[in-house]
Amino acid sequence: MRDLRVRFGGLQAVAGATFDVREGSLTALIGPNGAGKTTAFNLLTGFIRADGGAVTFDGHDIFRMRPDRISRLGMVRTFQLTRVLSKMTVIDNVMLAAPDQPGIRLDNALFRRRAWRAREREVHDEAMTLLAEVGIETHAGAYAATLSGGQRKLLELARALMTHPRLVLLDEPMAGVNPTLGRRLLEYLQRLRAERGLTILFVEHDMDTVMGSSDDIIVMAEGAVISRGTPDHVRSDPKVIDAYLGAEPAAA
Amino acid sequence: MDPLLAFGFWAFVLTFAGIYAIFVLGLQVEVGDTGLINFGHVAFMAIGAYTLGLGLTNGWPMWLAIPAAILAAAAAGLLLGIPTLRLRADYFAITTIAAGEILRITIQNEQGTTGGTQGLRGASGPWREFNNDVLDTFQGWGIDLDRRVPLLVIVWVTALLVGLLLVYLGRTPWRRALRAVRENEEAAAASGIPVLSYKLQSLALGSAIAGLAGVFYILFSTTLFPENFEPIFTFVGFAILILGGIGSYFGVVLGSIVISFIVSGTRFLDFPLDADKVAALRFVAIGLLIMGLMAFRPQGIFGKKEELHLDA
Repeated sequence: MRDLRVRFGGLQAVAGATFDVREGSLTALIGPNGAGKTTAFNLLTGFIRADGGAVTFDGHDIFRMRPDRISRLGMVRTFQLTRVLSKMTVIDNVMLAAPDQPGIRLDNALFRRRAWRAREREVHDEAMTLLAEVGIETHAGAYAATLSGGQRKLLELARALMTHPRLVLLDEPMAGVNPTLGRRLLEYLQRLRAERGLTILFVEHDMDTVMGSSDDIIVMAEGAVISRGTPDHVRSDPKVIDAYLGAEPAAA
Repeated sequence: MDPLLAFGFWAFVLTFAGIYAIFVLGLQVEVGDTGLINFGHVAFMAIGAYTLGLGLTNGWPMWLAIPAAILAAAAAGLLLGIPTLRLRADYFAITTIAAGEILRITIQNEQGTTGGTQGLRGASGPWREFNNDVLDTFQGWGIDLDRRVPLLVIVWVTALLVGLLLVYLGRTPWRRALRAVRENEEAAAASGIPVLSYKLQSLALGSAIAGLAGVFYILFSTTLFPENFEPIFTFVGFAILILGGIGSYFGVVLGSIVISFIVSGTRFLDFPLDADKVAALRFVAIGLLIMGLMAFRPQGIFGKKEELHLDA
């Protein structure tokens, strides 16, 4: 997988932003509220149409590609304001995202029962495993709408991982999740990175987590990228301190 | 009351109910499964009915004309869907009413081909022959059947088969994808589901089933008039959906029988009012039924009450 390069121009919310995400890295995307981070995610994954720029993923030009195709190529995102399938069960929410489901095609569903039944069992087991990893397996049979906000974040994470992604874009994945579980999930993600080469780009507001665990940090403010680099570099970058990390009030 | 008259009444009502059941099963796929509010569903029934009618009057055999009618309806569904399914739900609904009316008015104006308001006749010849053959066969076995029975049985067997097919499909990953499209298109897309494709599949299948209902409609009514396919037919279909419970196939069956009784059965009963007023009152009754359901039992007979309170 080659570097991901993103350049947008002409869109107000994201004005000429450019960055790469290194394969196999855990990269944080930070910035004040309204900086354009979620918009950047939307543009990258095809949910909003960019006015200009270019996006490459793993050698593919995915600029303005449909979101479902980008997802199937291996770049998957979660949502800041969770979007779950309310009137479906939690486990159905996860099973939906599995790749290679023959039964998802009408002709197979009608005529090739044996083909999809076996795969369905596999998908079910894998979904249960994922739900257990994120800690909500006891809710597997419940309607997704009954989950709390934090639990929905966990469901979205499980759903994203179900697609066997190469790159996950996690939009505030730990918002509303208790800190202990949050740490455990971070370890889980780091394990996936080590074992499977999963690349992670996440939006996060908790600076301890960001500084402590990221390889790379990208800082956005007012639609543009104002800094990037290792935690140490970013932490001491005056532009970042000004815009985000809490500038000291002007000395009296 | 004359027993034969009583049987004739029920044969009429139940056959009509069976046709409506098939029609609404198609609607259930679109509305209940995929969340597509299609107010023009009757147009596809019209296409099925007129295709069969025109096919038969042009000498096509039944075994060719019937599949042609169903395929024509499915194709029309796709044709409608391709430009319109990108619209937001409410705009899509409005567009479908327009599409239905455009079709109906076209049929009405193409007097030369379709008979327009004079009606399409002559399509029932092959069916009458078949019907007589069946009756003769049973007579040969010593069973005297009323001439309305074969159609009644065939319609309901078909409704049952379509229902069973949909129940079977209900447990597949395919249906899960449809329901995901209904619940939240963005979540579905993020999970790799090509949303537009599934909406089109749903519309094609729903339209094909409506076309099948149209096939039986023309066999049932023998003469076709464009007025039979006004939007009110679809709205009554929605009443059946609501009554039976959105998402329930069995509810469709029960709802069809109840509504069919109200709509067509009351034609045979004596009311101290003239026919126009009775016709109007029929629709008042359905309107009141819908209002009553919304107030006291919005999930319908077989819908799931819990699902009502789940927000996105």
